[in-house]
Amino acid sequence: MGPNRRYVRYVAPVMAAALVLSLAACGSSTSGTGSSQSTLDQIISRGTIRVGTILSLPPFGMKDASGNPQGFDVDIANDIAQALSVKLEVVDTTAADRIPNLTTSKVDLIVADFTRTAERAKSISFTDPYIAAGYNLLVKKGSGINGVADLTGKTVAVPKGTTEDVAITAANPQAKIARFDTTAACILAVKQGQADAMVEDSNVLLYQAKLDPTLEVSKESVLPVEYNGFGLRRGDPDWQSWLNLFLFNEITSGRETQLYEKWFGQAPLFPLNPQY
Amino acid sequence: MLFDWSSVTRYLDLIEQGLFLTIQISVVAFSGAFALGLVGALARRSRLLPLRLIAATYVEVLRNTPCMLQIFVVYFALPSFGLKFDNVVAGEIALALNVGAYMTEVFRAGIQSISSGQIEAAASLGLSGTQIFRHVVFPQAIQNIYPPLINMVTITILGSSLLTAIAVPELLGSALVIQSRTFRTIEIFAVVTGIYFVLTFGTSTLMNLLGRRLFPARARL
Repeated sequence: MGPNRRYVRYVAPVMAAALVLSLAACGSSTSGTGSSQSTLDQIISRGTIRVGTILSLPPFGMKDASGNPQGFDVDIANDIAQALSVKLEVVDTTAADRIPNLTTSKVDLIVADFTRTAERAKSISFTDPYIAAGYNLLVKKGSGINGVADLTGKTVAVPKGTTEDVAITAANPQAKIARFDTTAACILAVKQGQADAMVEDSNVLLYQAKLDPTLEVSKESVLPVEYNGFGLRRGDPDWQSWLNLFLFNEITSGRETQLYEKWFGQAPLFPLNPQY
Repeated sequence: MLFDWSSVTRYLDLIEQGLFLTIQISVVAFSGAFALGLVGALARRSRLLPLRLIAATYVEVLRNTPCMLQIFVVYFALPSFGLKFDNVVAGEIALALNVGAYMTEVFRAGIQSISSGQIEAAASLGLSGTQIFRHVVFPQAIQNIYPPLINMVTITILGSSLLTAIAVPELLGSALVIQSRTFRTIEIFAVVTGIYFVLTFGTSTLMNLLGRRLFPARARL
């Protein structure tokens, strides 16, 4: 009788208050995961946007001499941050980690030469395209490899978790596939003769062939043209429509072409023409 | 939270291939490390200064640089000097060299721990240096270092997972490929963690039991 009364009088109200306070705190938490607020609002209230980019994929993403991120994707991310009036935080990722980083809310957006595929769209959402790419082979000069058929019995390096990884396996089952973690490792493998060829976005290969005269890009495109967009979490229509509007402006104003020429040294290989 | 275990069962053959490759790499690399360790330990205790210097340099360099860096050097850098290995062989070499450096120190400790009384007694019985080593020192040294030896085997098996960085399709590499295709992180990583645990724990348990068979006196201590 005694302990019961003491409990009801003093302990229970304190516990009830604690419970109510913690529920209130949960409701107003701005952590983002599980909250029904759009990512767009979260970014604006936080004042920072976290963008996942592959910093081992020159010239889309790379590090300058002081280790700061730079590249085509980084410039686009900067334009997004400016349009939102927030600060940009670039998060380095690998091709295979793009989706996990997004689904675990480590980043708000993926701007990383991300190809739109139906398989990926089951887990995340894509915006409209921001760049289009063919896929060519990077080989040593004079290797005689011009297309997918020449890869029979040869070693092809691809980065893990990319569309070329899946596509090359299907395109030539007689080729030996070597799956590396980064594009840079694939290129090094070709340079050192550990692989006979590597497959990558034709935009990237243009840049690489310019840097190293011992390498050349095959004439034949090995895979159909792919359209790359931004990646974002599913179920966020506000964020998606803002990004699509941003992209429309970016492309029609000529800014996207300007950035492309800055990083790839020529007009876009596959120009985009958004219409409404 | 819905788990889609079919994402793993669809790729069972890939996991199986990865497992066999992991086992193959571990066996080859550890055999190499064992041989290197023995030779290295003898070289370090040799009367000849050049041998001692070479062995000491080998041990210190390989123990004080990251294993993954060594793997990259063997696979990516050596071709510039004309030594080109395919990725599995390069990985086995790098792993054998790395674990061999640690094995050198393990063997050295084991050999040094044999009391000089044993060696003097053997010498007074008329045994030659080689015979002393083969019949007196080595068997006792192996008994002494058996627990750290099992440890090194574990390190080799788990170290084989580093080879995914040079595109070797061993167990972890296969798991990462499956994860990148299905985007199902938890399921595939749970399965592969379980496989690694069973493989490594099973191996060390078997080796412990084997040790009790081979060295009965030690077991009773």
